[in-house]
Amino acid sequence: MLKIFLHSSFQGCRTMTGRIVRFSLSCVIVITVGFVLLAISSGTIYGTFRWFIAGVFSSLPHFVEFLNRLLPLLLTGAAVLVVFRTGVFNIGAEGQMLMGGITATFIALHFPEIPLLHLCITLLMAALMGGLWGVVPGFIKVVSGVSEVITSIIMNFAGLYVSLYILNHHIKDPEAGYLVSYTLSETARLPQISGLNSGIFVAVGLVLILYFFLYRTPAGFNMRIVGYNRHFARYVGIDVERTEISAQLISGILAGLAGGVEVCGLYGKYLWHYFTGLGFEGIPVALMSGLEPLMLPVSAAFFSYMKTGTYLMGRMSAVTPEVGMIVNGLMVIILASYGFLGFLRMRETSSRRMK
Amino acid sequence: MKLVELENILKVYPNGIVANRYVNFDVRAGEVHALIGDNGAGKTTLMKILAGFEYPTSGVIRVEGRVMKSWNVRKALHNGIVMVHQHFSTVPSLSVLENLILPMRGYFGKARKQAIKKLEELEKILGFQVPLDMKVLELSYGMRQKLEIVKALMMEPRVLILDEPTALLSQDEVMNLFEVVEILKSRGVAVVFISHKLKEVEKIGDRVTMLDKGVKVETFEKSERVFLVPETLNTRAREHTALGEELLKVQELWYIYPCGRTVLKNVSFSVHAGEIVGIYGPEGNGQKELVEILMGLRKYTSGRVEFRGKDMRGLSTADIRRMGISYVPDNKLEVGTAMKGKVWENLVAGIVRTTEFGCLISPRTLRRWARELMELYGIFPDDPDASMYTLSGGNLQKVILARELSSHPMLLIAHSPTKGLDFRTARFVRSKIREIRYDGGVLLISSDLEEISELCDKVYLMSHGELHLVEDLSSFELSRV
Repeated sequence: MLKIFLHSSFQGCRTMTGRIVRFSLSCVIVITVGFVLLAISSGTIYGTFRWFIAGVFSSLPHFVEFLNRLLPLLLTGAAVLVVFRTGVFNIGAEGQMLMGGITATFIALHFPEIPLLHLCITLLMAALMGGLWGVVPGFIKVVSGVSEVITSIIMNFAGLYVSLYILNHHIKDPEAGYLVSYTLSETARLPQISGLNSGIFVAVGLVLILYFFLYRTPAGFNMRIVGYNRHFARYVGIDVERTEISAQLISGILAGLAGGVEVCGLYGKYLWHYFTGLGFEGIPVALMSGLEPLMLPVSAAFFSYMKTGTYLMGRMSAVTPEVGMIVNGLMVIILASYGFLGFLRMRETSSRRMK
Repeated sequence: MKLVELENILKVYPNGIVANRYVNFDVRAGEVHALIGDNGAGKTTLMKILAGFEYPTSGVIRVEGRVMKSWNVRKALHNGIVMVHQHFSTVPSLSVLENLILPMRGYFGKARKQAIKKLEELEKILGFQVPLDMKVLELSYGMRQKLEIVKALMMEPRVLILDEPTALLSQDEVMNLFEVVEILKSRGVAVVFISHKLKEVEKIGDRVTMLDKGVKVETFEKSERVFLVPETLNTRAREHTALGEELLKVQELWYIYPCGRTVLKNVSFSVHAGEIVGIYGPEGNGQKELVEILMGLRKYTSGRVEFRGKDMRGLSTADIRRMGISYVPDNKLEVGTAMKGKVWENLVAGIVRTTEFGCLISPRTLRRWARELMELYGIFPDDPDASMYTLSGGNLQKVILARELSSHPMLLIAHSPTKGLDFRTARFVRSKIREIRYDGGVLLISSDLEEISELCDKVYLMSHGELHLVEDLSSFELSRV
């Protein structure tokens, strides 16, 4: 497993040994930098760092927290993966997820409380709204040729403010004392298993379906071909525009579901500040998986592990979460950058002795 | 004196393909050393090793007798070994001067002046002018190839490696290039000339090394070149097959770019089943636009295009392919293949193929199908999962051909199908094209006179967007237009 992971994450490096060297060296650098940073900001380094590294496995609730943080990353990572695989740089997972979340909350609060149906409609609407948010950049590109990078960023802002507007003016709970929606009734909730958001099974299932879709269906095959080479795809008779828009639709649905599942499964209400950022984190998650669906859980787990460790460290020791975030960010930069330690390869080439 | 020496070079690529098997090779000062062999014989790999782009699995590199303990591009440049790659490595949207300065240390001020001064010296030596302010994309292929060489010469090489420099050039441009090579030779620069054309090698090479499937056959001195029998493609007696139904009919086709440039002027022609229709002419006279219009990749301005009596206006590429038209494009790297993909993916790509195999893809069935196809066309390496990057130019063309012909087209549109291919592969491709004529028609667009005259039953001449029927084929073959 580790072998595959290394393979997909460090395609820049040629030999397996080179990859492993690069990976371990990255880890060492990351840990050293993190250690120094923590040493500067806190007195008790050992205790602090232990929380960061081993905190996740210290108790069941902590492990559940880890899984709960993994879930949205898995879905937004899958969303980003689909579009990147098609060669479309729609980075609007953030906006799609926020819209999915707010739609789920809104629908759940207004739909009659019929068991099962209530939940299904809620999640379905979240997915559809995410999909809608996702295809807008695609259509704009077809009509006016504007790059989806720009429009999807704008859609992120639109998603954030539209969701805040709905939250503020239509579903805000005035009793709560802070900006939060009313709590959803039980019929719209996904069950929790000792704190674990059962949506994780949905997410894992969706990732498996995504794998099947990309590798076993003509539509998925066409998406990969478009991602390989747009001109080639057009030349062999693939409708490139349609393929790109459907990739963005699927991506939007996945991101929208991420928002919906978070609301229905974990919080039971729309807590906007817990949501922001999850969509953007999908980008490094997808990249680190090497754009392979089956590697997504590994890469999402890695990110979730880092995140949970950071928060645990913040809660259990004197280190502020911000410092933890800096360490976390550094790790992402170092581990996710393909070119990092590329100079090693050069050295490897030049110092290679001729036999 | 031996400038550089490669000894017992073994190169195994990470995917297990052996590109070079214990090859010895050396270059002497002031000679032209030709390296010949079929596509995929390991010529390019060997030279990439010499220039430091690849490192050998085992073997020794010697520069002036000294064994190099380590080797890379920087060291190669330091020792004066510069390679001009097969594919152009200039930036089309930049000007010629900008392209020449790009690899230098500085860009403005002194460095720029120095570069221009050096360039002027080079121009004096080489005897031609480089249009400094023109953008590279406005240059002809011949000029671009010269520009590549000038760019390499700016680094003051002692060994200049030219990787198939003539693949894209016309006859006159090739002669021009040879003059440049002679000048370099007289100034003591060693030139390694990679080619698969025996005629060229015979003309220019002082020594010739022949590679076959990664193994060195022999190095011949100029005097002992007995083996180099001039090869010509066998001119066949044109067997007349009965003309079948009219497949493609183009009437009064006009194409004008949005910017106002007229590319196709009143083009009319037709292709029947059982014939090969050739369109001959130098590239850039509207051929590319014409085929793209026929394949639905471009909307034409006015006129009428019919396939078997059906108007093709507004049809998508998928529709056109489903009607039974296949297309071998000119640009095999950017249009003809998905280089990032695997071989089998390239073979099955396209709407025709994916629906043929049902609504779900079974990689196993597709791989098996691809393997059969690869065997039929002799594609090497014979692994459907190989990355396209491991294939040589000739094998890429075979992949394209295999894909396009496996749908049994009524009409094949082939644009420069043998450009840059070695003799054997070219002959193979031509025989495949000839086979189609028994069930369908072929529209062959080429700037290779030999190819046109060998294959075609009817030839049109294309110049500046106009099409003229060549009435007398035999005189056409004799007099070069």
